[in-house]
Amino acid sequence: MTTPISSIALVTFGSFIGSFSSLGFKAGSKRLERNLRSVYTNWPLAAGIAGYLLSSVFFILGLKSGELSILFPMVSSGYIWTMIWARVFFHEPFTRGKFAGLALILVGCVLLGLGTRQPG
Amino acid sequence: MAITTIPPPPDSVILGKVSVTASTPGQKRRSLLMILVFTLLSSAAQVLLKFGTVQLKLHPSLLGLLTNFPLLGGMALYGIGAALMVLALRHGELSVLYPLISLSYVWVAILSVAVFGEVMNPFKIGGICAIMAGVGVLGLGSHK
Repeated sequence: MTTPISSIALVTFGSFIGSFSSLGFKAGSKRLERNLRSVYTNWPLAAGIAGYLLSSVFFILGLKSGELSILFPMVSSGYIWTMIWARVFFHEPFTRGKFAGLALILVGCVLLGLGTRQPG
Repeated sequence: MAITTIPPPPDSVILGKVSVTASTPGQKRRSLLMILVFTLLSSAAQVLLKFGTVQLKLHPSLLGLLTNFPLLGGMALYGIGAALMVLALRHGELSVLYPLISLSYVWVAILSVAVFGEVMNPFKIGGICAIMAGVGVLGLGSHK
């Protein structure tokens, strides 16, 4: 079994959407207090959960035809988007360590992509 | 012999208006354990989701979706895992927990070979190792 490009595209698109949901979680976590009201009136948190669910729909559609051992690690491509949004919206600095980490993740995703074309 | 006059760090540090209480070693150990359980749960969730999509192919209907227990179970494990991770992150250091999260790539690789008979090759193993290293470095780098 090999993994079609369409599955890889669905999973990476899902990760792209998922990276927005982590923005919602982060913004929502700042509004959390020790009462239930801060949970159910927390629109960033609700948006984060909705984004998370939407991204898992794309992940599941991608999984339909494709290898789990390729598609699950591909989800890590979402970290790249997350870092960009964290910089834009929360002014979290880019550091050398973060760049090195993302470069390794990118290399890993490319290797996985090559790995789908190789027979075992 | 010089006597150190530096007082021990306070239990509570006031940052702005928010008081941040330092975590005890017990809480930190529990965080590590929670992250390990999280990696196992989320890996099991991936396998259930994959199982569910195979079943969905056989019964592609709304009823098929609602009675798709592997898919629903996978989503539930996903949710429990996410809650566990949030709890773990409260007391653990990100630089320690993040590299541990990448263990889930190992579990998923083992499970996809064992459960679905997927084949490993040097590219896949290299790719998974690079991603694990990358997630680890991200966790260490984000600490500064």
